[in-house]
Amino acid sequence: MDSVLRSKVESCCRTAEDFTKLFYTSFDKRRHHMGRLYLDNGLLVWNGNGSSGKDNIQKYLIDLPTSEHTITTLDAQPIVDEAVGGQLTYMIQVGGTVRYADDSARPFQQTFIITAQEDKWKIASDCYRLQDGLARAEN
Amino acid sequence: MSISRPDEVYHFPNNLPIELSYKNTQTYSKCSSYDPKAFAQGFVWHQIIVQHHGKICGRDGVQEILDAIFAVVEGEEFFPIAYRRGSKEDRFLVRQCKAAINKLFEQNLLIQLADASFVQLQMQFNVGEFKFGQISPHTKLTEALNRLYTCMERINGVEGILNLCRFNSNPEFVDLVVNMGNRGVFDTICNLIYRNDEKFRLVNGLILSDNCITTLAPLTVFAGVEFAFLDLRRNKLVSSSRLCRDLSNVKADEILLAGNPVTTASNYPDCLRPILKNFKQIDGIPAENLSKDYTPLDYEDDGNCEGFRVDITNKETMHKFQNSSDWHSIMIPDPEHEFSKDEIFDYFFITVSATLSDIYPCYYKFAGGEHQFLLRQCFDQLKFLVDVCKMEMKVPRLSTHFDNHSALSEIQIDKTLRYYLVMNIRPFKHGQLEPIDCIDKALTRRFNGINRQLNLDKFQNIEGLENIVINLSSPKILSRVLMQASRKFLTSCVELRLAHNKITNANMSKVLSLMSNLKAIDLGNNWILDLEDIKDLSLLGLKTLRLDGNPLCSKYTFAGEYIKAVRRHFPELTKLDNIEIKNKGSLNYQKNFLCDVRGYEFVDEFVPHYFKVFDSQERQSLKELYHPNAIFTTSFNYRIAQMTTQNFKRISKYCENSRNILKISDLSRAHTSVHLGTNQIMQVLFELPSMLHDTLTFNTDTTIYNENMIMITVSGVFYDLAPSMMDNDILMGFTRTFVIIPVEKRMGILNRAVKYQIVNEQLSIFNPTLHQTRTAFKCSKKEYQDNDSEVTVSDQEALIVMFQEITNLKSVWCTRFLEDAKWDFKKSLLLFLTFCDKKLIPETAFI
Repeated sequence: MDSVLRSKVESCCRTAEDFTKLFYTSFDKRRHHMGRLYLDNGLLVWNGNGSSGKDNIQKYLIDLPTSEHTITTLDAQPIVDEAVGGQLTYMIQVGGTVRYADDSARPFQQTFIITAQEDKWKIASDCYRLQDGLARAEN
Repeated sequence: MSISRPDEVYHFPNNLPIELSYKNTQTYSKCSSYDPKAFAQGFVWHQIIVQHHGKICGRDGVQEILDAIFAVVEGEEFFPIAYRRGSKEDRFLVRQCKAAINKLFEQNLLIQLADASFVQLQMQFNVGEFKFGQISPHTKLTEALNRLYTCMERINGVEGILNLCRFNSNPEFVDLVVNMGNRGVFDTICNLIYRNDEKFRLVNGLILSDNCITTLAPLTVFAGVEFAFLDLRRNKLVSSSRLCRDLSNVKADEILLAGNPVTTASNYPDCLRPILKNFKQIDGIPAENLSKDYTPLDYEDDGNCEGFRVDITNKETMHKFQNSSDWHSIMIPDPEHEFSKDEIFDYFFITVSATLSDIYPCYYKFAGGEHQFLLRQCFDQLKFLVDVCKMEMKVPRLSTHFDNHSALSEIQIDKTLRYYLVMNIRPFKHGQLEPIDCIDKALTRRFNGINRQLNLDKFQNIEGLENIVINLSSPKILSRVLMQASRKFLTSCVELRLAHNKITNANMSKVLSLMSNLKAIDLGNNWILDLEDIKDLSLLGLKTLRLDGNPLCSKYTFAGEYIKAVRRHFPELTKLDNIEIKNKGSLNYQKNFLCDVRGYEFVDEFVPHYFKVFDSQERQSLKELYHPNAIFTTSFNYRIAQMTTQNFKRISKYCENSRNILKISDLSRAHTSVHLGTNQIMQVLFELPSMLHDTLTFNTDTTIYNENMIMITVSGVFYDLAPSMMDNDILMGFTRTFVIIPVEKRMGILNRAVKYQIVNEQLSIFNPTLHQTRTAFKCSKKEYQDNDSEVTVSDQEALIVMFQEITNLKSVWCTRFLEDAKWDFKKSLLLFLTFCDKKLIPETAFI
């Protein structure tokens, strides 16, 4: 692996750490500011329900119950240039648990595509799934 | 009274004989006048001698002579009695019929035969005294009718059809010529029928076929009578204008006209338009279907009224026509025929005022380089067109600019069409198009009482509206139509279909409130721009609504947003665009997500294929799916309940190559857990244990699908397969994301195949939830294809659409095949092919 890619991998991991911290803090505490984390034409897929455009995403997220996320695993890698034409883009996969509205903790997985826009990271695509879907945990 | 012996005696089977005596006879020939006293002498017989000198003979000769005589006496009652053939001359008796005799004298007692030769008549007034009990036409007619009343026919289930077919050949008329072709005779017969109240009550129809009838004027006595059946076939009706005039007040469910010269005219059946509304069927064809191309402009009887041209130079003359109820014409010159009828009307309806009178263009035609249509009773609109629009019509055009990468569309108006009016071009006539009538008929035609559905899809296409434009994009006109429907069907209508009508606004709850049982409205494929334009309908408490195919739908990128927005207005809705919707608000769960339907096939192909190969002995053959620069990372976070040595070994296979950034203390070493390039990746994949994925429980989210890149996230469970008989399979949960790009295009025989490779992949493995453990592999791999609960309703819809595109079958049949194959697309296609081979699919199954 050449040094360029190595440093790219390293900064990708740092960005993933910083970005996810910001993301879940916003999700749990500043939901009404979430829209600005997405590209203007960004996409959120929440348990199979799509919303596109940051305003719609903001609206969708605000309607969700209050939440508390705990992250247990984090993985990230840069998207190869062939796919994104040199535009710096990372793919991040997160695993953890979440409590919605004081319900019990449930495992969730989330995959982001984030891309550099000016000096900010913006979400191009966000795919969120509760591991059980919306099935009630039965014990 | 004569006491002398008669010169001749005519005997009749059922009447007293007629005794002829020429004592007081006055004979006339080759003259045009007679002594009126001779004729006026009481009740006497006259004799007419036809001096043909043997020129005409045979049975047909009689007919020829009678035709020639009747041609002269046309219109006047004339009953020849006791017609006798002779080698040199024929003779017959008549009585009364002064008017007819006058006409014969007018012709100098000459009749002209079909071959243009003349035959001399000799008129002998007073050849015998009339006595009561001798033959009398009226008595004979009454006798014949009375007999026919006793054997009336039944046609199409209707009793009481009086059969006067070949009336002259009835046995009562052996010595009497009854020629219905003679108006006077026909008049007499009609009057006899009409005035016999007791019998006429039972008459529901008349058969008048084969009677040489030339005019139907006598039928006017039946004005206001509604016959079930009127058979006029094989007569000699020639003039359509006389026909229309004479039948203008005669009504019948069915009228038969075949075999009359009028039906072979070039303007038939258009020429019947003025009387069409009197009949439901004409020669077996519903009246509305006749004369689709009729226009009052072609109507032969219209004489010389050509209207009054109004253009921009004399527009002040408009006011003269304010109270006219005649037709006015709009003329739009278009010498190149650049615009279609539909385009012209689209532009026209944009031009007219939305608030003034309803406007119903009738009888459109393009002729002589001009679009032309007729209007009535909308003077305010015409004035608006002249004064406000300055007799111009804007032609909007959608222009598209290419600006860098994006296409910008905007509406441009760079063309206007000029037009002029022709006021009072034709008078309005009874029977010509009247919008309310047309709408009413259309509504009747489209109401199905069994499923209580009023189907107004493609309203303009309903039979009977060929010559009138009912523009439902005008809310006023839509409202009028729906009001008429509401009043007509009231509570009997539960479903209203209005698809494909260019409707722009359907805020008509007030109008529809009379249909208090209305539960479903289909507004699909209209021009509705925003939910605001239909929100009133929410007052109706609808359960089912269809809106797809309207511009408003494209405001929402995904179904969820759209459903939510619609439900905000229609909270009671249970079905939207044919899909059941659940009442769960935003906490809805969808098994799969597909950002672009074009990706359906690819994803459907790729995901099962990848995991099938991955689970097989051929895992290394995945190599060709990876790009040379591909990146693969994996994170493993599975905690095992019982950590045995064996289990530890199994787990460590995952751990070796996995990573968790949260646990990497030195991120400069992060690259060590990144697997780069085909070889490294294949090595990692190969080191992973044997697995069996439960593809049935996969959630597949396709978040990017475009020409450059595809991104698919798959999550579910798999078994880490037991390495030996002593071990158990371990169920694990996973999420795996693939970034895929096309690397080679235009491949394969059709040059349409594309080669794809994976460039980025992340695999995350973790413990399954209790719920996942319970539901995993509930259906074994083999049963997978048999389980159709797996296919969601929207999947099914998509499959049906695809299946239809390929097979061109009607949806019902597509559904049938797909259901039989348990929604397995390939199986259903194979099934279809088998059916095709065996020719088991009827023609009607195809679109």
